[in-house]
Formats: sequence, C-alpha cells, structure tokens
Amino acid sequence: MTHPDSNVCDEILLDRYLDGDVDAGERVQMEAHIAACRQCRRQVASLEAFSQNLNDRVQHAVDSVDFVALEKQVLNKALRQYRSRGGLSRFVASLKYIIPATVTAGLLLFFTYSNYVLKPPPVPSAIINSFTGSMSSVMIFETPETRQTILWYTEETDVESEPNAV
Amino acid sequence: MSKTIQNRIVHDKELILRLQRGDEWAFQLMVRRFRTKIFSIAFGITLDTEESQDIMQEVFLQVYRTIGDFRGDASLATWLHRITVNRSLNWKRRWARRFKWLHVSTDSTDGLPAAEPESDLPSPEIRVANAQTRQQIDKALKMLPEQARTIFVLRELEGLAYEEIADAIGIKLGTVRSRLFHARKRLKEILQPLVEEEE
Repeated sequence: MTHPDSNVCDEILLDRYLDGDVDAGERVQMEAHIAACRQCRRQVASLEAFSQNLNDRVQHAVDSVDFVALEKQVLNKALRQYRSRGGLSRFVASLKYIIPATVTAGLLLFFTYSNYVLKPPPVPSAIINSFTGSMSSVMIFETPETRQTILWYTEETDVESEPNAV
Repeated sequence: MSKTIQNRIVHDKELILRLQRGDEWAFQLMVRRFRTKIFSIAFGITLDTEESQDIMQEVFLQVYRTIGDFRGDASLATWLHRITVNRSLNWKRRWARRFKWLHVSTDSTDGLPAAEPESDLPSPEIRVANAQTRQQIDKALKMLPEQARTIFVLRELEGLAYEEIADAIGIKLGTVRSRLFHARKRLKEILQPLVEEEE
C-alpha cells in the first residue's frame, strides 16, 4: 500500500495515516510527504481540527446534560416496568390456581343448584293400594308440570258423603 | 447501594448475569458506566441534545426489557452501540420524513449565545466564535450520508475499532473502511472552502 514516491499524493494512505492504521515505514513516508506537500498538509490539518472540534462539540453537549437526573428517571421507569411486569406475572402465575378453583366452584354450584335449589320432582302424598266400599264415581286428574295425580271419588254410603281427594 | 457501585469493579460478564437476575444496582451501574458514551453517539448522529437524552433512556430501558434474550455473542458495549445506532438512525429517519431536516435544535447555545450573568464565562467574542464553530461542525456532519456519518462518529468520538463498528452497524469490515474513507473525502470537500476562507 506504501506509495514508492513520497512526492505523489496518496489519498488512501493519507486516510489510513489519519486513522492511525499505518506501519512505521508508512508513517515516516507519509510524514515526509506531508512536510513537502502543502495540499495534504492542509487536508490533514483541517481534518484533525474538525475531529477536535467535533469532540469539543459533543463534550459541550455532554456538559449541558444533567446525567444524575436522567439516571434517576431511567431507574424509575425501569422500576415501573419491573413492577407492572411483576404484577402481570403474578397474575399469570395465580391463574393456575384461579382456573381450577373456578371450575370446581362452578361444578359445585351447578350440582347444588340442580339438586337443591331447583324444585325436586313431586312425590306422592299417599299411595292408594285399594278402595273399600262402593263408589259412585271416580275422577283422575294429573297436573302437567308437577305431575301430581288427584283422585276424586264419591262413595255411595250415607256416612261419608263428602268428596275425598288424595 | 452507591457505595457498592463506586468501590467495586464489576466486569461486563458479571454485570450481564446480575442484570439478567434483575438486580437493581446492576442496572444502575450499567447506566452510570455507559450513559455518556450512549449520549455521545446519539448526539453525534442526531445533533440534538433533547432527542439524544430520550434515545439514551430508551436504550437503557430496552436493555432492561430484553437482557434476558442477550446471548453474549457480542460484548455488552457492542450490543449497546448497536441499539443506540439503530434508535438514533430511526429517530433521524422519522424527523427527516416529517421535516426534511428543517428541524431546529432547541439548544440555545447552537445559535448565538444568550447573555449569561456569570463573569467566569468566555468573552462574548469567543462565545460567538465557539457557536459558529459548532454550527460549522453540525452543518458539515449533516452533509455527510447517514451511514458514513454514523461510522465517522463511532470512529472519531468513541474510537471504536473497525471490527466493533462493523458489529455495531451490521456491515462488513471492508464496508466500514470504504465508508470511512468516503466520509473523510467528503469532509475534505466540505471543509475546503472554510480552509481557504481562513487563509
């Protein structure tokens, strides 16, 4: 990469020289060239000055920033993130208990409701095995919803003239 | 907590492990260790103090959120540089779309300096000259292509090696060299009239 003639401008070598990316021989050659070449000397000077000014420019900006306050802000924001993330993860973790508990409670409610809260099917108040005496008439009623059966009969005897319902 | 931070040297490897465990002081240590570097890179790319502060905060919060995914393929510093460059370039693109670089910084010292009561400040003439130099620097940097400027800033401000720049931006080593060369070439062209003016 070293240019054999130190009087000829070598832009690439000059760039590497500015970047400190040259070996000892190249450095000597470049320094000799810069000493002799006004144009390259001006370029090196202007780029080095620019680099220094850029660093000063950024340092000026850095000096104007309150990093302590910024650090506090960042920490607070991170802590808020952590808390909200922690809250969410706790909620997600608790779901593994909440879901089975909810299902169990639901099943219990369902059975309780269906067995105890809902009206149980009506049971007969009496079972008639047989009738004695003679009856003049018998009527059978059955309620459609509660499925209760009502027997209405009239006895022929004088003693029990009232109708009986079972 | 701050005593621990100041008195103990914690290497990046341990810092990462502690960050992944959610140690609050490790996060504080990371912020303290990298805040100036991150701000400087962001400022070098955006040239905006306010935005650079926001970018710096966003970078740290992103690291805090995603440290669990950090596999350690690159160093913590390289990872931070990468996030900072991406966020800074995204910021620039966002503003470029909206205002096409007509954005004016709110930093009052970018223009002519405001009168300040302190007597130990430089003289008004020096302050004007400094402000003009800053404006020239900003103007020259803005004239560089985005990628070339980013590479130039990483090299000149942070002194990153070519390999580190390549890792941070996600480009090849040869491309870093080439873009740096073209950045300097373009800068020479931009600075040429100023040099002639001074002579």
